[in-house]
Amino acid sequence: MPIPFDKTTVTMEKKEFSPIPEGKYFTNITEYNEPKEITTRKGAICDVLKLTLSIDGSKHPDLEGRKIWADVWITKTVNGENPSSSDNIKFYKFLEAINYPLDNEEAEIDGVKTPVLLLPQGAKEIFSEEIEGKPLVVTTFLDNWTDKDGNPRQTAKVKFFEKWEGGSTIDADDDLPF
Amino acid sequence: MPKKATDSIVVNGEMQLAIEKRTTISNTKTPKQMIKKKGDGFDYVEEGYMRAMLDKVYPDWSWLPTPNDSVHFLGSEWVVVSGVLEITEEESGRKRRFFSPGAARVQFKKNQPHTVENVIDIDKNVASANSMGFKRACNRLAHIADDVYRKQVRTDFITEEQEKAYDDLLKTAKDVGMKMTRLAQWRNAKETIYQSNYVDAFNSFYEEVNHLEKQTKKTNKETK
Repeated sequence: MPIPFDKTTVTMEKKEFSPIPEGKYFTNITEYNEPKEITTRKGAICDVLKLTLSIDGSKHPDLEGRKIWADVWITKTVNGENPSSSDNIKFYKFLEAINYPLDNEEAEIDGVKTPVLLLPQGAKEIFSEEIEGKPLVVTTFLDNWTDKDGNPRQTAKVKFFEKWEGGSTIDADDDLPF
Repeated sequence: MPKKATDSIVVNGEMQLAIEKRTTISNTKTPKQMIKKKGDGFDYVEEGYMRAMLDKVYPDWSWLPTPNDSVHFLGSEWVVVSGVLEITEEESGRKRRFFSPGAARVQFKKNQPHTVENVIDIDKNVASANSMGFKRACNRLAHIADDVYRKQVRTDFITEEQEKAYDDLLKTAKDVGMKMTRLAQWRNAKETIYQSNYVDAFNSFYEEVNHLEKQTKKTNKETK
């Protein structure tokens, strides 16, 4: 069957890509990609969870289908030692925001017995099914950078994670990969 | 609680032996000194290594030209050499073949028109194309350097029964209070379990759950 073609309607202009403006967005985690292990200059060994967040169309009709990419860093060790709680505050905030199930335990800190939460020490201790599809509110900022051709670029990056009260988990695996 | 896993023995025929040999070659680690790096960052092995390995694993081998156009030029820029690698599998007594083309760019003198008189050394380009096809055939047919070319594929998956037993153990582990982080480790480890390590993995997990169950019972008794 032939494809109708009208050359008078052809436009050679490229669609301008506009970054998602800074703001607060209701999203669902639609992809949880293979985490990467990274060693920082400060000697921290981290797993980086690569997440794709899809903006909810009912809350943001103009941005339906747009995606935000977020990295969640898990500091596993720092110079061979256990990380401090401050090293993983963002990771904790993320887990808290998605209601990730965490155990707690009593630990002795500076001679005092204190209840502590047990965070996963890296991606291998994480249940991916407790992440995929989960609702999440993110606050973004615009990150300015220069591409390899020297052009200035802007990308939306996540500053904060928050719980989406009343948000529902969606089936993140509805697309066939072929 | 599910039962402990036990080993099972499978009886093989001649073809099974041949397949096992292919698997063994595929799982063989290529020595580091034989792995080179291309400009684009990809690893490769040299043709000499492929030939030496063929001599070792399938000594009755031939690299044959295809019936038509085994050397073909694409304009003046590319040369394509096509061949068929033939090997005899001693285990099954069968001959096996693999068709494989290889290509190389014709090199010309710098800043000169791409004409015959400006070709630097066509022999090297044809040899290079031939080598590409031959190496690919060695890898695809004989599984040599499967680790380098990322062609290692495991097919010894665990059975449905084994998977169910593992899942039941995960459930038991959760019921007896295994920490979420540890439980996730065992859950994620499932993706790396094949027939070859199933018994060891399952039994280690079983022992851990069993120990935890006893401990929980003891604690509960003491609390009462």
